[in-house]
Amino acid sequence: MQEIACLDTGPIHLFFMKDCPEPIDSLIKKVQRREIMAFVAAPVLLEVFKHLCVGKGREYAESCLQTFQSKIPATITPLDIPLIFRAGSLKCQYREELSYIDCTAIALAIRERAILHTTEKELPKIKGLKTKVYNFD
Amino acid sequence: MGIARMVKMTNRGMIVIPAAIRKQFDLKDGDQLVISSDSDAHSITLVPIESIESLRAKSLTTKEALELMKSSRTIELGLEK
Repeated sequence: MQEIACLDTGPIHLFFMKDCPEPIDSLIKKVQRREIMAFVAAPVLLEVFKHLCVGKGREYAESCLQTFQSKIPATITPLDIPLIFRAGSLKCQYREELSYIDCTAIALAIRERAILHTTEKELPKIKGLKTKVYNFD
Repeated sequence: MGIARMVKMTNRGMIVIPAAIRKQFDLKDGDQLVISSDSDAHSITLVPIESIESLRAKSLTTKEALELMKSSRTIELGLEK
């Protein structure tokens, strides 16, 4: 059965780094070859854009996201009311541990029964959430 | 340096990107471009999609990116305390 993944900010951001870690490169290349079906919550891309923009400027951030959208066949999922309710409940419950983007990505991963691929090492245990954590410290 | 050329659209909506511009942007057969319109400016813009390799060549390092994400998260979650 094809693996279903939900991509958090970290893996997408690190994919564009000059020394992109091998596990991240391998993950995104599997998505590219459609060996993994991937979902990305639209607000996650907003955060990726922000990090790329802070690091290298607006034009660079735009180029990266255009390249991501055209070359990586991930489903970019906009927020809808059920997702907002689920993400909002998570933020309410874990407001000092989870960012709004974390909550959105987790809500989408649970809904799609996907594994959340993240670089976030301190996520609380959440019912129904499966994670693959990448640690590069 | 900018280049401007007049081109003619066919009845199927196709245009040819002039060779001088293809050369300037190193555009090759199969390259992808984003086409967008701006009705206020009455303009159509073509932006070449950059390769992952060329974007990586201009990027930060993984260590710098991880620090950037960590500090952003610390600030955001700190606001909840």
